[in-house]
Amino acid sequence: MFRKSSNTSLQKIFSQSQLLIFALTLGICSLIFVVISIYTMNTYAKQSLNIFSATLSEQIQPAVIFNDPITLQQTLNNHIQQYPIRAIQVINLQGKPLAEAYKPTPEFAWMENLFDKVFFKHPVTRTIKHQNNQYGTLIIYGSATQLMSFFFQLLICLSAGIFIILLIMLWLVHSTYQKLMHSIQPMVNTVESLNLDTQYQARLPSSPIYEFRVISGAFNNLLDKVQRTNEKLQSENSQLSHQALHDQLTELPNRHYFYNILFNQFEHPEKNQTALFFIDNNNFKNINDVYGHLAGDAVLKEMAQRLKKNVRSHDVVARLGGDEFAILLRNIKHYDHLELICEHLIECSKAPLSFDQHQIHFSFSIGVAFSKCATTPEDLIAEADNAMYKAKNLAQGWYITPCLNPDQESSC
Amino acid sequence: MISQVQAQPQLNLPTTTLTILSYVRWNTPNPISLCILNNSQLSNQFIQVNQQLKSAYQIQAVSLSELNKVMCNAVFFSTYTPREEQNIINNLKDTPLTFSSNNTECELGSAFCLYQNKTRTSFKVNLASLSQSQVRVDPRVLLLAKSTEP
Repeated sequence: MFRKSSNTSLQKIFSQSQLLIFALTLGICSLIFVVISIYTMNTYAKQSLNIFSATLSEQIQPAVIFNDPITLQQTLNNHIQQYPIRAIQVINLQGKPLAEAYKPTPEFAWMENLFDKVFFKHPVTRTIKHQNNQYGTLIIYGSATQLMSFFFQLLICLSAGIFIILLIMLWLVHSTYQKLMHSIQPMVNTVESLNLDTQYQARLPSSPIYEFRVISGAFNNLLDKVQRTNEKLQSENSQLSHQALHDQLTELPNRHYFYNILFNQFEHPEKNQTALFFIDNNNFKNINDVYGHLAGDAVLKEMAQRLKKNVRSHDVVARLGGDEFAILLRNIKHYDHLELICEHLIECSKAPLSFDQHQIHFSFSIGVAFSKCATTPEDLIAEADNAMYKAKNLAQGWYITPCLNPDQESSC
Repeated sequence: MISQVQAQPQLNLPTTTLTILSYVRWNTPNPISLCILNNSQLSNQFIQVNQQLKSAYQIQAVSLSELNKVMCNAVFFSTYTPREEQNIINNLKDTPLTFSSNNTECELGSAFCLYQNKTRTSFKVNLASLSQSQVRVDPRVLLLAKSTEP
């Protein structure tokens, strides 16, 4: 069905329907007009032929009575030249012709013969009488010459009319089509732009044509719905993905997400200035046992907040699980800075946490590895992990993995 | 009504005369009298034709001496010369429509001059004389009058 209608355009449909209406209207009107006018013309022609025959019979009456064929013939000759008559005959009572006159054969003889046959098949006859006596008969054959010329004039006028109306009609179809396209084109453009725009923000423009306005309105309503649904879906998606990537308790990135960031970091050129901190709570099990799990959770939350507060906003703090945290510090210009940061972080854990009328003290150990000294992220992680375990046995609470490469800066 | 099968009238002297009379509009009431001057034989022919044509003319055979005494709407000459006809007409107290069968030139005397053609009787018209007679003749008939015989 689509293939069948694919060749049809709106303009074609317009043209066809207009042409059909035009042809029907014009055909019927022309037919009625031609029939009426020919009927009227025919009636007039026959009437005038009757009047003519009456006049002629009066005029030739004395000539017939006095048996003057010369005068008769002259009269007939004069009349046949002046009037649309095919032939005139005057016969006497015995049926013998007294005088005859014929019009010369015209150019379109066959056509005129046809018209004559249709309109003047039977001649007009008139008895010539005088004072109760009959003297002869006048027979007149009418000619359709004038009818024919009238008919041709009619045809020419009608053709001219048809031509003009056809031109006007084509112009009208074109302008109607243009007007419609003026309304349709913005709609098409909008729909096409919607194809590219996943936010479904575009709306169909209003149209001066009522029906299109209705379509636009309905479509825009649909778009509103789609947009709302889409937004809801997107927010749910982002919520879900946030949940998947973050730790619910501390709202920090989880292990999976953090390692993703770390691995990505390694693909960038500035990875050499990145440091990985592994942080482990020293007495978390004890806190849990003494104050309960809620207190443990509060400590974890407090730790997360303090860590986050004490690094820059573009550094990533994550909870790897249990009481283990990690920080990815970027843009470390000097190796020495790491020590300061470690000291600073240890310092921030010294204030106790007030929980449920208890002052809970906690501390953590920090293991640091500098990415410049590691070749792969896995190395970096292993080094940081090892450093953390080393730090647990140190009083300062932190340990920075020294670089093994001779050209690297030595550790503290 | 007129019978469909009817003999075509022979155009002899009386027929032509009576037919011309039928195209005359008279000022006087009917019947119209036609006086045949000095020719009883012709008069009889006229009476016969008058019956044939079913016309209502009163045909009278009159002599010259009677002419002023009887009422004649039309007078038919057959025995006088044009000059004599003119004199007689001049002496008449009335002005009848005059016909002649003995006046080929038709320049003097009668208004209508009848003559025998090869097949039929034709006529000429003397318009001066016709205007004197003070009757109106159908112009279609006057057109049929021969001006001069070729």
